[in-house]
Amino acid sequence: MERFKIEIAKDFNDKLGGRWIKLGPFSGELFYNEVLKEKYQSAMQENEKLHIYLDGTKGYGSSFLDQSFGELSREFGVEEVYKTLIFHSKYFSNSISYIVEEIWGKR
Amino acid sequence: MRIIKLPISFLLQHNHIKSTVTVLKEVTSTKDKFIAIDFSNLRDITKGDWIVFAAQIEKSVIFNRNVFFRKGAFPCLKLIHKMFKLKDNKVFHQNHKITSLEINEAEKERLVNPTLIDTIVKELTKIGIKEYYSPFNVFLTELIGNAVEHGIREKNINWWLTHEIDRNTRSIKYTFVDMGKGIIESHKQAGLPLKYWFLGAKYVVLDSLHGRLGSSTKLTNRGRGLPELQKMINSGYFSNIVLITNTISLHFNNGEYVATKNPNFVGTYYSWTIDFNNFQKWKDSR
Repeated sequence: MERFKIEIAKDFNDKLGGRWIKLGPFSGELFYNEVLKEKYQSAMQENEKLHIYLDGTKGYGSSFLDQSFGELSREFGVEEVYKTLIFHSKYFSNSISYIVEEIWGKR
Repeated sequence: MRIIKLPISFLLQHNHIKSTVTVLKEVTSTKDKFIAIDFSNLRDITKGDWIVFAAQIEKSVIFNRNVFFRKGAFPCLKLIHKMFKLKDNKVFHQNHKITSLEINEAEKERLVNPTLIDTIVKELTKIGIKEYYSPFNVFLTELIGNAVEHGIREKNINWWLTHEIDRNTRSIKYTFVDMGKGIIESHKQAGLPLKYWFLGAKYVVLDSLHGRLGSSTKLTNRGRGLPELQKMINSGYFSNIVLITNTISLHFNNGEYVATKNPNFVGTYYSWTIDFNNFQKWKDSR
């Protein structure tokens, strides 16, 4: 049973914005501040994985991904974040590769 | 009064770019307050090119307080129909002056607006692409996001987007113009690495697209947006890419860019098409 999970389309929004809160609604920064960071910290405290479900949204811009998952790694360290997060997606494997390889540098 | 005569072909394509950009530059840089536009020579124009012209006129009116007139007759009906494409006439535009330090919530809703972007993507159903085309959502979010973010820094957000639907070829041609400084000028202002002063302006744009230059913000986690768009272009998710910024125009052809020089275009212009082949390539890659 997944104790800690985020379904981005359901828990945040299915239409995603740009990088910063100042640029408009449903930004990567807002997602990080209001959803991702808190769930991550909760999962870490319990020594559990955090499951991220990407399907159901209209698409992921690189700016959104960097300001959310990138910011998470910058605040908590790439290695810890890489160990803790598990991504699930049928349609956005490219976005997962982008996060892991380009943003986190794990090739 | 300054008279600006439009050329026979007012087109931001191929060998017409130089003459067209020359006219665009004249609109914003003339010292005369009163400007008359002469359409008498004009024989070919598209809706996207007309929108870019309208964008320059708007900029000229707002910043230089120019007053525009028409000299002589209107363009012929056939050209007017091309310029305005009355049946599918959608133009998306944002011109927003930032006067206060904080942008309020109501204003933010209108900046990078995911609902608006979603609406534009869904227009692809008009050429039979029924499944949601995610790469296009990502493409638009990045283009508009860049225009808005740089616009906030310059205290003026100004971009235009339009499309031309061709039901015969089942394709849509898009034109997007960001009326900011342009890619080259933004990097120059931020401080260009020395090598580009020797390599030339073309490499500023090419290296931005391929992730070799980084961001004009100088932050190490930035400058990845354009390269991600470039990957989608390389994968064939979009066709007929034209990018014009400052003194460089690029056409993407057979997997590489062909670069030409032109007079300074203050801003960044993109045009591209989407058709069923593009969509199928994306579907096949999943």
